[in-house]
Amino acid sequence: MATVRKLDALDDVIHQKVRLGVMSSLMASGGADFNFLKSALGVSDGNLSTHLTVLEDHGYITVHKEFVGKKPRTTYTPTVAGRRAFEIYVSALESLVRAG
Amino acid sequence: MYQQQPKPVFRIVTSAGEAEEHLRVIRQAMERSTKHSTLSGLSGVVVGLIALAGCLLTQTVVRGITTTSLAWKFLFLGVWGTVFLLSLATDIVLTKRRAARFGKTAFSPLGKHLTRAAAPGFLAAMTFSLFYVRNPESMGAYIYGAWMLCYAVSLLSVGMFSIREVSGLGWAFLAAGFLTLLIPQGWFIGPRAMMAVTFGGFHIVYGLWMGNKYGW
Repeated sequence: MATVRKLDALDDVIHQKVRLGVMSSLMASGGADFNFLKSALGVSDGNLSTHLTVLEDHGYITVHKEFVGKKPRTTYTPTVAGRRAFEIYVSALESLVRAG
Repeated sequence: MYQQQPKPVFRIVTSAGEAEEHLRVIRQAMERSTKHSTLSGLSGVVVGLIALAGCLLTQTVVRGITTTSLAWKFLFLGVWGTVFLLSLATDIVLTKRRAARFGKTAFSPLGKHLTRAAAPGFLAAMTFSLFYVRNPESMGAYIYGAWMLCYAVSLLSVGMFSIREVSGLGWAFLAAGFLTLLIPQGWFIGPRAMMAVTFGGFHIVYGLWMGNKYGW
């Protein structure tokens, strides 16, 4: 059935669990830095960095680098496209669960 | 130079169970991000001390003046307006400091939700205060009970988006407001003393608890 297939199609950029965690966290907090995401999601530096690059490459997040005192700080914020993709993804999941 | 972004690949999820698992991941990540409190324990303690100073000033300076005089109106609004503004400033500065430490912004969408949730209670308290200054005899010291209830409403609304301690403080203020307004006159504790116990004592206990549990 065409409708069911449409519901089942999920954005694979967000569908991966770490990226899903990153997007969820950024959607809830509005923006967060690398260390915050690392502690909130419980993932390693390398793992998180790889997934953040994927999200950035797809235009789902923007990266802001600055120095706080002498320490570098990288902050991530969801873009309009990222927010939209996340909302579509969540409604697709909900439809799927409702459809059983 | 314009760089074309890679197009997302779409994936087929076949089971509702898998979808539920992903919704669980979303819920968990969002909860961790929002419940990771940036509320400051130190702020609670300082706000409590400011409130105690306000109670002391009311007891020693404001109380001695006739409530119908213009001086009393200015003093009452001056003392409690200053207490409110100082507390607000303390909370903003210390929350911002703590948020920066965790890589979060205090004025994130969540921060805006919290402000919006707290606003109705504060506006109601402000309305009661203006009414009280215009008609001091009609409310007497029971204005403090009304403040407690208004503050409880704000805290309980904020508590819906925040950690459980905020709701706990809200329920404590609600109970205190109830007691302050309904306990018989001349009971062992009056409205002014309740003000010191709640806005002073409750905040200090809450601040110490928050500081020990989540850091300063």
